[in-house]
Amino acid sequence: MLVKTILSKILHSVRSWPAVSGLLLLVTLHLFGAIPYQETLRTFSFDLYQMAFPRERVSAPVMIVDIDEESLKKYGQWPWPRSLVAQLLARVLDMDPAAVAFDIIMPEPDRTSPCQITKYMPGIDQALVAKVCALPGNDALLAKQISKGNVVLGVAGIDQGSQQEVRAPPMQSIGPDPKNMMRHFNSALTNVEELDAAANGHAILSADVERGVVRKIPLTASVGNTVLPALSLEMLRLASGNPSFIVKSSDKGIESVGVKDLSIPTQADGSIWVHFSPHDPTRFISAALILEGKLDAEIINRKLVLIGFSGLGLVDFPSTALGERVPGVEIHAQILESIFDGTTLQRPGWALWVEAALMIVLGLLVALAFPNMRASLHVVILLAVTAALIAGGLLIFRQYHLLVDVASPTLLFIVMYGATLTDSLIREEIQLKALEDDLRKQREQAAKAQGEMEAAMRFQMGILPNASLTFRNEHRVDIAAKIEPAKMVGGDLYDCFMLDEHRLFFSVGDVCGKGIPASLFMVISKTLCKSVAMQDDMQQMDVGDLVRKANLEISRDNSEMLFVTAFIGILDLRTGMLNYCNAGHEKPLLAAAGCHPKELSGLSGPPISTWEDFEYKTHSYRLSSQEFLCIFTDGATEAFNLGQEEFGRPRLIELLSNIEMETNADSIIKNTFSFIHNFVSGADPSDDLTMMVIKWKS
Amino acid sequence: MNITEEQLINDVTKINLSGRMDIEGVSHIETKFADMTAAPRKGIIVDMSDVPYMSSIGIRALLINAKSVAKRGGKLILLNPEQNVKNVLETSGIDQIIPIYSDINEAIAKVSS
Repeated sequence: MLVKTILSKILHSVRSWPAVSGLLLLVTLHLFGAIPYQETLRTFSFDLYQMAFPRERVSAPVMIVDIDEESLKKYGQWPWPRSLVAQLLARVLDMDPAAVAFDIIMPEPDRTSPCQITKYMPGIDQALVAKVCALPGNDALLAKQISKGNVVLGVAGIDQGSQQEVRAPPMQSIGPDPKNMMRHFNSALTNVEELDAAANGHAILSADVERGVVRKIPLTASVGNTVLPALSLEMLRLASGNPSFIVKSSDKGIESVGVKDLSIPTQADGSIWVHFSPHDPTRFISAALILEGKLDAEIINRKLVLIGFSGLGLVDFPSTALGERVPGVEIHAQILESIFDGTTLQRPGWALWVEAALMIVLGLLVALAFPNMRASLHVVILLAVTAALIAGGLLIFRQYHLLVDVASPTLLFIVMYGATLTDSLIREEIQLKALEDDLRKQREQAAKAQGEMEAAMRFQMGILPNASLTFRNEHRVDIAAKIEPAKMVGGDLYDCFMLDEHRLFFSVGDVCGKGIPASLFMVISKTLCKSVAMQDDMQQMDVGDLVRKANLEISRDNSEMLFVTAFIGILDLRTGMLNYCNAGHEKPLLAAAGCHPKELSGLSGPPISTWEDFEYKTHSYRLSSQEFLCIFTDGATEAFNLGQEEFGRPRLIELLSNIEMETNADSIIKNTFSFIHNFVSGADPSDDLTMMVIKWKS
Repeated sequence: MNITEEQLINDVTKINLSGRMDIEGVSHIETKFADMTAAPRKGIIVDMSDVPYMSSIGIRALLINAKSVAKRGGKLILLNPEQNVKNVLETSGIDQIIPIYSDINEAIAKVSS
């Protein structure tokens, strides 16, 4: 079930596919060792392990007899006569070392041998030549010393040249033939035959130097068809008195090399990673000191002795993984020390698979899990994983002397995270662009809608008559009306027209609600009211009947349950008699100069369109020629200012109680509107504001 | 706004409204209000004593429910509105189609009949 869920999750995360396939490709390349520069990164990380935890020098099984600056000063320039080298070796052998090895190759005969020198003396007495040549040659002197002890001579492998056979100790091979598994040289730079033949031990000196740094040394290598041990291994063989060295291999490669009772695990090619300790001058004894016989024999007794150079100009100084430049001979000494202390390094075969597994786990973490996590968590995980990997790599190195490459998974993790981060940034940018486009479209649409709303408002205002203008020539009445919609279109309405020669019909209404629905309902209500009023049979009907009939019409298709409060009146201009119907509307006020306004209090019924068959009552009132009938909607009484204070009916009554004798309907409306505007001072109008003022002038 | 209901005798439902009946308040209760007045209920008393303000949208909410009850032959009446709410209801003539009572027993008797 869990596997199924995970699988479907993986299949659904289509976005992660490129990342996952890239990851698998990388891991495959990793397993085949085909990632460019990965080896450089890896060796650099191994160097860092060694720098963090360099090998501690526990035992000191090796001494280096050093042909140093001091020796050159005392015994002359190199090459020394081999008689002097023989003298040096004789002194060393006297001190009974376990084995001696030369980190020096002597490929040509010594030209300072007595017989050789006579060749540079033209005209020399031939009898003298015969005598001198009867003396032993320097090479013979050295060969004699070499043959006396456990002395190893080395050869240097050469890739070019024709195949050549060299002397070598017998190899005991366990497992498949290791010859093709190890480092191979076609030929070698060897010592003169006389010396070579005298030596008990034969070894290969070559080490592969990568950009000036020695990291790995082959413990066994082949020259032509011969398998040779490394200098260190051959010394151990001689010291332990074994007739042969052992190479153990399997199908996967060489597993270990050694002699009886000693097995050194190696890489598949028979090499080992050298575990370096810092350069230590106490490893070195000046050759001059030995030649002068000043050295305490105990120092060399039963030790492994390397004879080599540190004199400037004689030898290259390769770097160790610790970044120190040391004489080449010290590297052999360090290998022997680490073999003795059992601290040789190994990069196990499973390391590559562990690294691949880490890459897959971390890569999937980034590709599949990170997208669903908070970014702040990413940073924490990134730091924690990186720290854990580095700590793990160091711990395995320190405790088990194993080289596991944590740099590759760490780098992959960071690079993949960077890539997904960049990817999501790009996606976000695209999304932002899409959002900006949407916003622009919405603005355009809003502007279009605004334009349509303005057109609707012009239409709505267009169906309202201009009261002052319509009745300009009717001297029996002074009438004015005005609407200010709260939104672009409103739900308030008014109407006024002559029913016949003497009767003025007028109405003021307020639809429940605001905006477009209210305005549509307003247009319908106004139109239906007028059409009912204009029907022939309505001529003699009273206003209550008219409203009842209009109510029936308007209620018919009203699924939204909107309703309209209305004050509808018919004023007889001959008598000033007003018949009116108040359908749930705010009570109008009657105002006159010098009088307190009074309410026109008759109520006829609920708002229009609330109850289909309601019988609306008709009320009557006779207007005096001094009275202004002021009809308004709750937009006037319920106007709010910024402090949420309501304008209220008392303020309106107060305002209308102060009208002047000379005033007219139009100025009362203007005055009232400006008073309300001052009161709300900048607050958005909460409702439509409508007012109609009528004065009968007899 | 808040709305609660309680069952009284004679299958009468009492609905208690509280809060301002303006656009925002009504939007919170209108669905529940409609559910509470739905069939088969016929006798409904709406307790208005905790409603301090009534707008035209509030009137509309009362009307919608009163009409739907009336269509099924039932009755919806209002109980004890505050004075200013009562003024609004009277000014707008709503009291003529949704009766207002101040005595609960009288109200129960009215909607039970």
